[in-house]
Amino acid sequence: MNSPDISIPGLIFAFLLLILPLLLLWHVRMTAMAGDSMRAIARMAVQLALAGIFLTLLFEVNNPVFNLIWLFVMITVGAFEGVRRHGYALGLLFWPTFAAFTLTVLSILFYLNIFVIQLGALLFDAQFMIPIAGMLLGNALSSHIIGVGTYFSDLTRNEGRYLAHLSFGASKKEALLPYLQQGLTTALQPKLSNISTMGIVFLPGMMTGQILAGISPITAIKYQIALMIAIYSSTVISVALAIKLLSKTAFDEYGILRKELLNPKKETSPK
Amino acid sequence: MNDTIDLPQSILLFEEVSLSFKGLSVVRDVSFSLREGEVVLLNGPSGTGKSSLMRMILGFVHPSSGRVRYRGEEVGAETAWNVRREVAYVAQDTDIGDGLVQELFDTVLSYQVNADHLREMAPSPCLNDLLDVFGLGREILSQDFRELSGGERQRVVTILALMLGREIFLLDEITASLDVNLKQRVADYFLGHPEWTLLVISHDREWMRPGVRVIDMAAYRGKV
Repeated sequence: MNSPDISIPGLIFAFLLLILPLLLLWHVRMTAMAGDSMRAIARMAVQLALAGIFLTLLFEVNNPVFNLIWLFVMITVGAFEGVRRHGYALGLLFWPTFAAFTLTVLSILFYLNIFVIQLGALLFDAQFMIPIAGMLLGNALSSHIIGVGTYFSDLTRNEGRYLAHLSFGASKKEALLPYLQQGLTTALQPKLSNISTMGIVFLPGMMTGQILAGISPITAIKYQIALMIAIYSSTVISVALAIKLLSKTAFDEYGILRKELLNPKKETSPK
Repeated sequence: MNDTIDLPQSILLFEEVSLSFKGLSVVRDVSFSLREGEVVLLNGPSGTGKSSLMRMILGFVHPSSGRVRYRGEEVGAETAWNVRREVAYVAQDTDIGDGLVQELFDTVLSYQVNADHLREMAPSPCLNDLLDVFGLGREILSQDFRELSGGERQRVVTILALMLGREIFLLDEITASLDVNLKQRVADYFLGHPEWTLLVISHDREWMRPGVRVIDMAAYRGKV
């Protein structure tokens, strides 16, 4: 069974659903949050409308070269956002992030499409490549923001501790291990609680979407299992890889964190 | 600078070292050397750049001009990493991390360079003896480092530095938070090893003994 299309009046009704929460926010004097929410929702609607037009075009043309180019545009925007969100210096920290995202998304995407979904000749098909890459990239980005952010903020906050371990003879790799562990832990915790409550506490968006679009729940669940494992793997790989690659740029030859790259506006003292 | 002035047994050599930050001069033209087995005490009011000088040896701070040499080599990146493998540094309020003292010790002693060094060393330093010397009980090993008092933390980090089996020590105010009796014990312990080379920053008179060379840092105070 195919789902009915949503009509324009239907979409307007969807937006009317916002009136109650916005009134509620206004009532509890959270007007700034109400403004932020309206801006975010407007941005989401415009972005999705453009994506809808663009994806229709991309799916119609369905040219492997265009698909790959679009994939790299997505990765570039993701890496840019990952560096920009923390206020890090873009010039030096963009490429390690870009490399981490590219390696993770491409390897897991093709693994999924070749061995799990077994696409065969459809390997570069837009219908499979773009949404799966988007899901992997979106998760890699949110994990990156949490994991890499924790790594560098812990290091900045505990710089004396890190230097003490260097002075005790630790190699850079040895001294950084606890910070890598903490970064990965922070990135993985929300994924783990998501994974372990799946199917009981909530039905994930992708699966709900598939079921609403008329796919059998069994097929939707098989996709969901495969994708959750892929998302878990991509979280670990992309965060670890990004930390590893960023650490090559973010420290000087003495092993000292180049704080000016993480916080380009602040000057640092010699102590 | 002529390299021949650097005598073979010189461990550390400061050559007209100056440090300024944001246009303010912190220290100016400091020159001194530290030979093997020698003890030098850096003395002087706070803010005279003593700690920064010590951190230059480890490559954590870089001089604005002049040179710091370790065993004749100028402290660039490569030498700084060597210093960190050979020299034990303890600063006041050194934070070594969260977790049980024993776990933190195990982590530091498992670093490749320490594991290799202690394997070759016979006998390696005995933890129980050191705990006795510094007036700490065994139970401290199963306590969380962050929950110890300032004086306990200071002694734990000093013991950890001694466990590394190194013979050159940079000690920055390590007795400041101890009572008089403990200040005496710690100073006695370090000064009782004539083979050790010590660079000490302290305001405590327990370190002022015959044979300890005192450098008054007030003389090198920087001017704007």
